[in-house]
Amino acid sequence: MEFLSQLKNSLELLDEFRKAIVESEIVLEEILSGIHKSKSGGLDVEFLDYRGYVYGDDLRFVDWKVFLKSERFFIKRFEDNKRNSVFLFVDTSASMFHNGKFVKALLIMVAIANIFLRLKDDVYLIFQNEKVKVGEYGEGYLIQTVNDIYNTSKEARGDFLIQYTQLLDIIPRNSIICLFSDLFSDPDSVVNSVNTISATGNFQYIFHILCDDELNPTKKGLRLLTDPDSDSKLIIQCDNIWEEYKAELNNYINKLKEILTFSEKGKYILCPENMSLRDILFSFFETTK
Amino acid sequence: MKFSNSIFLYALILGVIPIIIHFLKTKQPINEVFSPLPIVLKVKKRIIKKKMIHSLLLLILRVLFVLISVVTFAGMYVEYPIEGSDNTKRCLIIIDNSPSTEANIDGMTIKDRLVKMAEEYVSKNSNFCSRVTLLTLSDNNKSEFAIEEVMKDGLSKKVLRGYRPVTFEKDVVGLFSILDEEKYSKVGLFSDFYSHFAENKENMIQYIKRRGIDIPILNLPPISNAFISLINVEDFDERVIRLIVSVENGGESPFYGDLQLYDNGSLIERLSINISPMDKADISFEISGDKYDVKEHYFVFKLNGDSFEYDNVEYFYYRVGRRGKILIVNGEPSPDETKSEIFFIVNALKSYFGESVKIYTVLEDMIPETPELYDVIFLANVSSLERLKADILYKYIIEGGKVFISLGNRINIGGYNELRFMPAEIIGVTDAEKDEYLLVEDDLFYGWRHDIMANLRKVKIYKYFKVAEKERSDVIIRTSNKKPILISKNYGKGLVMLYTTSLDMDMNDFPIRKSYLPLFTNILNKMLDELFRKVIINSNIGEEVSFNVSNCYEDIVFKSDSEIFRPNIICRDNTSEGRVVKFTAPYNCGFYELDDKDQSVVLVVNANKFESQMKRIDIPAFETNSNQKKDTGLIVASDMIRSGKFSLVEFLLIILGCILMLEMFIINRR
Repeated sequence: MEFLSQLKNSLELLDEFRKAIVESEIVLEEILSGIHKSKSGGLDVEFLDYRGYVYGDDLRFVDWKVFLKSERFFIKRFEDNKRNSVFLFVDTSASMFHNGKFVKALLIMVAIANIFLRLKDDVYLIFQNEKVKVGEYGEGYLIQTVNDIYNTSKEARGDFLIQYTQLLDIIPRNSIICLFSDLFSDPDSVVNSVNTISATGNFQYIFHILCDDELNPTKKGLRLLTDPDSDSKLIIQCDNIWEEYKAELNNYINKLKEILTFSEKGKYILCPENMSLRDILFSFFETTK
Repeated sequence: MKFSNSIFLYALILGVIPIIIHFLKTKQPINEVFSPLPIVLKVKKRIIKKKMIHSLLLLILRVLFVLISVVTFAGMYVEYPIEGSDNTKRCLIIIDNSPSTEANIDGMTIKDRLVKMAEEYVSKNSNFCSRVTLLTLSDNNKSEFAIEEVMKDGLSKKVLRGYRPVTFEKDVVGLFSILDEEKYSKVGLFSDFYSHFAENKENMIQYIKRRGIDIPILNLPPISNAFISLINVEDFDERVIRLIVSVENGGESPFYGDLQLYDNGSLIERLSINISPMDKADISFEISGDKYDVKEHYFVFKLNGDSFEYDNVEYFYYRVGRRGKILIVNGEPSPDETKSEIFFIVNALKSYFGESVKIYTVLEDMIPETPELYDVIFLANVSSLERLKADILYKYIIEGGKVFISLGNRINIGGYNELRFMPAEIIGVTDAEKDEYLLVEDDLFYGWRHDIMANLRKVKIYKYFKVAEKERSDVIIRTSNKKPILISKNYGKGLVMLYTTSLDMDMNDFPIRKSYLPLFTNILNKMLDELFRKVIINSNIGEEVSFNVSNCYEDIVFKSDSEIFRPNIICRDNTSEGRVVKFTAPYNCGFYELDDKDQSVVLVVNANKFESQMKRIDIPAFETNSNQKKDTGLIVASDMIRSGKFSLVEFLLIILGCILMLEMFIINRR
């Protein structure tokens, strides 16, 4: 994500957003090529999305074209032709502004928003406890809105956990929520928030954005570590603590995954620094219901 | 808990060193923003705390290691009561029982007065004393009693007469170490504080009092006290010994009395003397005439007239004519001195011995009838000896005399062979072979320089007398053809040497050779050896005497006229000077002699230190070896247990080992 943190001006950033939309178009094209209405065309049913093949599925619903391209089995799912409300929430806390995580989060968000727009869903961007509907004025408006979020967030950073918990006040039940965050707040509180939102019937896509230094830290010696969110500090001898750190981080991630998979109300997508947008989008599609 | 070497405790300050090092090694942390801090905080409790505890433990262990090391070197021990004694209620009563306290003043001895005062002191302080420790200074005897026993029986029977004079600078001040080691609720010192050097008496008393020791005042009437402070001797060639005796009166009253001089048990002279208080007088005695001829004098000086008897007798050993006296009987006199038989030997001996020997020369007809006045007699080319003279010489030799016989062309072989003190039988004169040279075969010349031995080979012998060695005779020099040139033989206490060639250059060129002087000085040294070997050691009563010896026997016996003294000898190795013998001089004053083949010693007890020939070993230096362990704080546990102390040193060493192991373990776990 190094190049993302080195973007010189908003024009370069806008260019990156456009590339993200193109990337999402390509992926979507690859995924959706061959999709058509079902035989019960009279019914108001419509292709919803893909999910991975599991033993017992009807082979009639396997999308063979996708299989030929991606060598993966995807089952086409159809649903009543009903618009979903998708809410995209990006973490604007201070920790996201290190190592270009925030820009990466915005790029993914743009791509995901575009995908949902293509699927004819109502897409809203959540920013400062307000929802902004995008899509009605084309992709230019989406890019402009995301760019506004970028510019505003540079000046005023928010508390991710509070804002995410307050989502329930402004979104209807049974919505789809996409969260783009490094999730670095109190782990137990984050787990509780995710659990609460799941419990209210919402479906959550959690894009966990991490840089290499956070996934596999290699710092040594005596360090004064500062948490950019809470500004709390810690002096620590770093030589041999990282194994336990990684275990704790995995434990945290597993807890989140558990909540989402157990309730079948969401999906966790780990977005490490070296993972391309294309791969992230494929991961998004892989088991999407 | 106590410490045998508390000086080491100053080193406890070293305990801050690990703390200083800890802070010096603490680095400044690197500032860094790290978003996953909440995750780190989750593991902090487990990891960071553990690390901090490790660091803290290491610091504590290192500080402990330094502190315990210091305490170990300080020799920490705990005291425990012996035989149920109560340390908190023990009193120490120190009574001076030195000989000066035996003085009878107004019908009562000083010692009795001191004991009475001590009893009153104990009675007065009975509330503080459940047990009484009694220490007598002269014999350094220490014993402990219940207070009831002291109150009932008193102390008089418990204080015995001491023979060793007390030196306040050493004995009393030495008590302070006892007070440092043992706790007493009350300490009282009872002494007449009589000392020959009484100028510092008041200062001494004040100094002792400052250490918390009670000193009740003993009021005595003014008394005189005369003592012999110095004996000097002058030995004149005109056969007069002058003894100058300094007598001092250290008392506050004039001394009126007399000084008696005894020699070998007989009263020689008695002189009346009067000395003012704190004054001195020099008394002179002269020994001359027949009395001078006695070689060894055992002088005893006795003072009469004061109450202090212990310092009224002095013993003094003196040997007349300490210079060696040599008589040379010249058998071949010549008007030309350089052609005289004895010219070379006289000049050689004078050049070497100087004034330490006196050489007398006589003709063969003038051999004196008192050979015992001489340490060595040379018979140089004497033709023959009259029977009477021969008998006198034989007696002289048997009693310890030394005779050197050199042959020559004038001798009567038959006459010589009849002598009872010849080491060999003379057969006749013979010419030496052309390449015949001399060889030394005796230990007498052990260590002789190699070049001198080589020079001896260059000596040319033209003629010598063939002889047949007698039994138990020793050949000192032979020719290369095994013919004896110098033979020695012991007769009684004496020694005879036979030189089978001439003393001058008639039969050899020895007198002009380099080895001539060394050879004859060695011969004479051996013959005078007995004279110089006898050593005198003067000591005070009860003094520890130590000196170097070649051989130390633990059953050494000193003899005197009236008794045998068997000192408790301790033999020790002295790496630089052989063996060291140590013992305590006996209380019974007088002269003691040790006559052994290796050592001849006269021990004079109760003498001043005049003219002591024996090199004394400093007692503290002598004791260093045995006390070395104590000095370093590593006290032998058994010694301490015996004294009611339990050493913790071994225990501390185990703890140190444990600390080291624990530290290693923690370092590995970090």
